[in-house]
Amino acid sequence: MYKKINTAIVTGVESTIVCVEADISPGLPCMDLVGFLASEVKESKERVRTALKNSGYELPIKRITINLFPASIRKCGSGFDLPIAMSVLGALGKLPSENTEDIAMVGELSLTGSILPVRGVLPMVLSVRDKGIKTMIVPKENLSEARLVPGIDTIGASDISEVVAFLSTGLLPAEEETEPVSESEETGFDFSMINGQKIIRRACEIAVSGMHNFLMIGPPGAGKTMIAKCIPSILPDMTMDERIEVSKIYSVCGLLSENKKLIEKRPFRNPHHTISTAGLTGGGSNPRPGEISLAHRGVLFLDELPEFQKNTIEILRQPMEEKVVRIGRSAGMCSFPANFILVAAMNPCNCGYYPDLNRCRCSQSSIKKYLSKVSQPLLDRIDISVEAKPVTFNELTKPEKNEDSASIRKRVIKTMKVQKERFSGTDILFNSQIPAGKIEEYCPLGDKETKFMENMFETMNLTARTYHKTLKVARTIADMEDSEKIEKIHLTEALMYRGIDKRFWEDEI
Amino acid sequence: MKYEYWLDLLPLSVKEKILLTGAFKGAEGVFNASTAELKKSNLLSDEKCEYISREKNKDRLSANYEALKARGINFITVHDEGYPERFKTLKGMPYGIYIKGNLKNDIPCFGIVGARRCSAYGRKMTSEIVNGLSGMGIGIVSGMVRGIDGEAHSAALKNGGYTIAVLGSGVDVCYPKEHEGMYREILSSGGCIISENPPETEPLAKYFPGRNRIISALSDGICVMEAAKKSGSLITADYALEQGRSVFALPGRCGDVLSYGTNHLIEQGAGIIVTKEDFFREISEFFPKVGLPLPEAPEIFKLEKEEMLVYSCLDFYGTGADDICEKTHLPLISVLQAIISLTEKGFCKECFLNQYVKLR
Repeated sequence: MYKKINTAIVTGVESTIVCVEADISPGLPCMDLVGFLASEVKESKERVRTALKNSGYELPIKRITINLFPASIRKCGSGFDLPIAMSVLGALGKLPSENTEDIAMVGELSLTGSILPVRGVLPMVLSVRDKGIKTMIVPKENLSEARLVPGIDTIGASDISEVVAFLSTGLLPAEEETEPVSESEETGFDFSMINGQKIIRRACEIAVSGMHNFLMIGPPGAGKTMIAKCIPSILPDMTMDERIEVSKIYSVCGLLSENKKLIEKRPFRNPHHTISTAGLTGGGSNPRPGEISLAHRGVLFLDELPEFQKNTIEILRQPMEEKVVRIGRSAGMCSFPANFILVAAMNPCNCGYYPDLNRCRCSQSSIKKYLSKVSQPLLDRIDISVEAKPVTFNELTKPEKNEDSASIRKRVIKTMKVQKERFSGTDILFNSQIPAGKIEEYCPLGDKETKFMENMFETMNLTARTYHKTLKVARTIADMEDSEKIEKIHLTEALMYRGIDKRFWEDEI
Repeated sequence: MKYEYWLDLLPLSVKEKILLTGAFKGAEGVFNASTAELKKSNLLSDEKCEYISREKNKDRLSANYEALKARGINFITVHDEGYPERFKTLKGMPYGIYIKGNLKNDIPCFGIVGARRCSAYGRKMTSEIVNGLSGMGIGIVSGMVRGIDGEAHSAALKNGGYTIAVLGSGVDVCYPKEHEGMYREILSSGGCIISENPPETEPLAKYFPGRNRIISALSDGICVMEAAKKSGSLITADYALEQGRSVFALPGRCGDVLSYGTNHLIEQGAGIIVTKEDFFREISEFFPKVGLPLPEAPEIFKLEKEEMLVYSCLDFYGTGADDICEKTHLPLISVLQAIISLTEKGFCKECFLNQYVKLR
């Protein structure tokens, strides 16, 4: 007797359909599993045997062969238990043969026969639906996540007997009334909470409008972290596609089920500086997304930038350019999306108070050493840097009301629209992505402005790279003011945000 | 000279070296004296006499001195003609000194010292004072470390003036490494690098107080630009007073860590730099041969209203853009614009990220 059951496997954040087939033939009693299996899948036969026994199905004294195909994909993960058990039951003739073609299933089994939740249900359901399969059986705990996908029937089962009942009689398992999930609380961070800090507020708005990477330098207690946490509140809402894209990443990491719904807010990830390279970019023999992919479409905040391990930070360079991180392992290559704004914060020196010479106790060489911990190639990818200053008592208690995030966001959305029109038909989305070769095309300067920049190039010791960064930021500022032409005033402002570089320590004699 | 060089490398005090050379008619005499003769002279302890005898090695003697010469290092002892006149009247001066470049004994010199980690104000005033002094034909003596010292040398070099760098390391060891360019420029401009420590000596902290006494001894007066409460510059000032040199100090704001030392010196009676012009006049009275620097043309400020407002908020220490907004009640954009146009006109400079100092 032979039976085939559909299931799905997650590789990276994408999913592919895998079939489980079982055959029972006379021979020595044993259960063989084949098909390029990882060890957790090989172990599955013990779980399946015991779970079936405890659910009341005794296995015959015959040879059972189970194959998972296509054999070219390495099978890993714990979701194969249920399809394997069902294919065995099918081969035993316990299930009606015709109605399993249009059904896929996934789930881990415990020895008692109950079904345990698995990771990555969202991408699996998406791929099953796209394959044209009409029904998907998932563990009960994963049901709400699976229901996020429209256009497919999803059924939550809690043990083997429920699945058998459904497959043979079409009886749906009883569903508990799930309470509608209330709107998750606002993160509570809003720009109206930030007093003073005019220059940072402005710089944040520019950074977000043009998706420029952003660096804050300032003493401890200047509110750098708080400002970073406010940044997601001025990002535009995600589109449906973006929400599914982000939710898939969270599903693969097992972070979605607790939310019971699609990710709505743009992510804000704040990894600690002790994070490993694999933790940041993703990794493992069966690669999982790292922090930079969890920050996809949102903000990656690196606090205390110089404290991160150098090689960990250097690894960011390629994903920041390509907006995707590729991880190659023996099992294959997978790529995770990583399109985020990098927001970084750092102190200017070890004690944190430089350039206030009355408080800073660091020697010139230690300041230099501290500042140069952040590599130049990374600094080159940061378009905007500003100083964060501690708020004074006057600013803290100032009665005047600060502009809130909602009104800033309106302007951001408007500016993004301007960019969308300009770059329509190209693969550029934002001003920050203008390649060096296209700067002249997108950021043309008039005679007067060229003369001004020529002058500033000398006075401020600009380099070709800082010059290009300045033009890109000026382009965003001009867009914010709905000006087609980049004026001197825009260039002026952009010049003030150019990053820290060697001039702060090599200038000095 | 090879015997003198040999004697200089011995771990004896300056006084002992001079007494020995007196007793044995020069360093060669000391070298040739037997242990018994050394002991008989009753100048040294028995251990030292035995140590000296062990250190005698005729083969290495010439080779070492030739190697020194080959590296362009001049070695001069108390008995030589080139030994600085200024040292001769002082106590505790080294037996021998190592020189690279051209040591001029006949021109007036002024020591400029101060903190390594200095403020923008300290830098600016140093370069202005050195500009004036170099213009008057006065040599600038300093220690070539980071901060005020480095600024003093580079301002002197920029002005084409004469400058002497006194090192705490050997004369062939450039400390700090970043000043390699300055080290070479001092030599190529006809200046001088000098140290009492033998070549290849590492720049260890213990050598620096000794270096300070040479800075003040080579100078006719010194000026402390910026110094914290505990500062090597104050040691230089103490030596200068002991050696009878005049001491000037640049006043700073009360409460600034880096001006505590200088303000304290003024309290104790050091000359105060009230204006550059007064200072230069006072110096010119010291040295009848030098003339006053040409008076700078009074500057005519031509600034727009907003530039003027922003300029009035700037100081020599650094002000943040946010503070300027607060003080002037101007919108951020106008402040940034004013700063850029002030930078363009050379009135201000960014000293750290979004921190600005005025330049005039």
